[in-house]
Amino acid sequence: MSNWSAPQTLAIPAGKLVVFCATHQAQFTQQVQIIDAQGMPITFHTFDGQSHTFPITGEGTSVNLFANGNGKFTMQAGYQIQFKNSGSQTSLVAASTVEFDLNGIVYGGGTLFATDDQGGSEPDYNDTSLSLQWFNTQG
Amino acid sequence: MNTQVKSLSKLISYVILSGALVISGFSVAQSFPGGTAITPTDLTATPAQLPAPPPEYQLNNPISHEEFARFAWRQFIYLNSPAKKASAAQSGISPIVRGSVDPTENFVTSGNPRFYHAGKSSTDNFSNNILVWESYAHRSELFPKNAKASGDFPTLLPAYAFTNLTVPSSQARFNNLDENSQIGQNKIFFPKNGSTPSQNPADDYEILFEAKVNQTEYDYIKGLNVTPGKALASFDLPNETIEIKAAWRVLSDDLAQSGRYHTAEALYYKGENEEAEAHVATFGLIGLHIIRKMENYESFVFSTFEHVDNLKKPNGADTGLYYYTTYNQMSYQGTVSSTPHVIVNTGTNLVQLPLPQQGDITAQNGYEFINGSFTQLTPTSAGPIKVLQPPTITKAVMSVNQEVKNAMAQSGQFTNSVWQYYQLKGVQPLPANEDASVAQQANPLTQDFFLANNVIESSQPGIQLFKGGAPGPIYQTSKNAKCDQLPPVDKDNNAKKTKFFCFPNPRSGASAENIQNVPNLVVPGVSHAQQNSIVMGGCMGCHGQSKYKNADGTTSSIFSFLISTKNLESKGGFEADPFDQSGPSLSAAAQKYMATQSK
Repeated sequence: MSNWSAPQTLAIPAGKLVVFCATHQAQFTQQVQIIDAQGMPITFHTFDGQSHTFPITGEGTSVNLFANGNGKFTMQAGYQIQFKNSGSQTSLVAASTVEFDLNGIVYGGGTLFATDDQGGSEPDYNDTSLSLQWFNTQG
Repeated sequence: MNTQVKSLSKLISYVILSGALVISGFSVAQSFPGGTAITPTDLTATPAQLPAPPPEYQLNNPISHEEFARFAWRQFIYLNSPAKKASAAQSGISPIVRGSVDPTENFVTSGNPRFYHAGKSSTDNFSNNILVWESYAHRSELFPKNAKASGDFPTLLPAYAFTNLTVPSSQARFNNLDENSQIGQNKIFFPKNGSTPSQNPADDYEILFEAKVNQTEYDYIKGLNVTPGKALASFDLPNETIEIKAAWRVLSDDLAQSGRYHTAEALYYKGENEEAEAHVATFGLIGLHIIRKMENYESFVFSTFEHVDNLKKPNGADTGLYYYTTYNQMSYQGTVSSTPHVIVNTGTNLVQLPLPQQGDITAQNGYEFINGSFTQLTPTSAGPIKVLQPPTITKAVMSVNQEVKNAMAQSGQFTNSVWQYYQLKGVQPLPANEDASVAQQANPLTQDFFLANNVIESSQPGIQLFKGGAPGPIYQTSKNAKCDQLPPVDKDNNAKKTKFFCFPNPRSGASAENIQNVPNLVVPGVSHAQQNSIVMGGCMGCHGQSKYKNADGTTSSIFSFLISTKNLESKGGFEADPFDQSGPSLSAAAQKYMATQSK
């Protein structure tokens, strides 16, 4: 089992609602977790209202959702994200962040993550896909 | 504080305070001809022009990375154009007006695969066909052995006095490949047979290096009035200083005839230490660093170009390019996490890449070893290791490379040019801190943060994914390793040869230390707090550690590893490295180099 990738700080204002969707397509098992400022996995809610704690896990080469791969949480200062796989190499993590900024008003934003578990000869960044979106206001 | 320093100071303040760029103030549209799209006219202009400096970088109207990439290409076009020929041959006078572009020729002319050889006669050891940068002063002309640079640079015949030999005038050439390693860290080779290294690397094609400076730097150094033992009031290389580092390879007959390389005769050296002798052979250019200091860009603009065949042959097969480290252990400072990594900005996204684990240089710790039985260069070297290309090349640079290829095709004059086989790897215009997280918007100035050339900086993490402190040897007491501590240094900033100096470590082998959190840029005029906040990466970060302590005690980055107190006092010079150096001699040279770089 590889190491967790080094945790990366989420650039989302504290107090904002965050929704996420995680999918996998890989031979190695994939894992994602969001940790708090103390390094502890946070608790989130799936859309049926149930409470779960990271990490979440996905298995199989068919594109599919991680177990509990849809959810929401409220951002707090110091939250970080990291990835892991069941192979021997640390996951490579690519990310692209956007912000919805209209007429100078920020309505929200998000980050799209893709990982590669280094299971093949060349990286293809298609082992984990995670979208993470936040909204400035709720309701 | 002068205007240009103020501008950099302001920029650095913004970058530091914001973490990312913050728009503030108002923008003024500034002309940047060097950043406009490359056209066939740029490639065929007679003569080529050195592009004017970029305007001041404005946070609210930033120059794009594409524009900086085009600027870098225009510098390449100028510097690789033919140098001006002397009006008449005179004994003791250079056949080339050194540092001047030929007003009657252009970049098309120098792209002829036979350019150098067509200018060579059987009676003169110098060719009349020399590139502009090839006519610049070699480092050993800037700092000859125990002597001072002198003479009228444009007319100087190349003359080389090293600490270990003086090159006979009958052998002198403009290219002088006196460096045999990647700043003491690695020796690098192309396999001679297929893509597999020979059992002994000495049987393969080694890559050699040279460093050169333009007349601006030459005249500045020549004009210094240095009193031994006394620091200068201020050492500050003038704007328009240009330094070059070039990498050359021995070519097989097939490659020499391929028409894909700029080739030239060059000096190289054989034999250990005082028995080293100069030899001459034809080499192919495979890598070119260009650094230039300009108004508003006091930390130089760094760019580097590679031959397109360095990693893959034209048929797509691996070249098998490989290196041996001169150390067999690697460490980080204590604050690096158990999962050391870097964050690369490709211009479209950020990528988090793991770095090798500290400890032995082994496959288990993340190095791409080539399987087989091989002869080590020294008792503490490791290899062979395959040269890899991490995903550091930016979208902007790839786009501009394609733009140049298109312009070459449109012109119709580059069908047989060697220059179509060279590409920009990247450009660093200004310092910035590495992006703090992949999960944030990228700072545009971190594109090419880890600038490295695949044949000049090949090993990870020390020089291919470099940031912070220069990779150097581990220092330790006789009992306890203290890898986070810098070594004691003498008045020349050289590591003292005390009991603390333990490289190569006789017990566990030689180690390279990577101090990734050391601020490395000290730019004149920028306040102390700001100076100590930037941990730049790549070429600029490494060069930023080359510092000079002025008479008033202030220290500033001078960005040149050619300058040392000894050299300025005309008590130094450089040693010519033999290409076949190995064993204790190579260990000693690597030790000396790394100690110098980590001061």
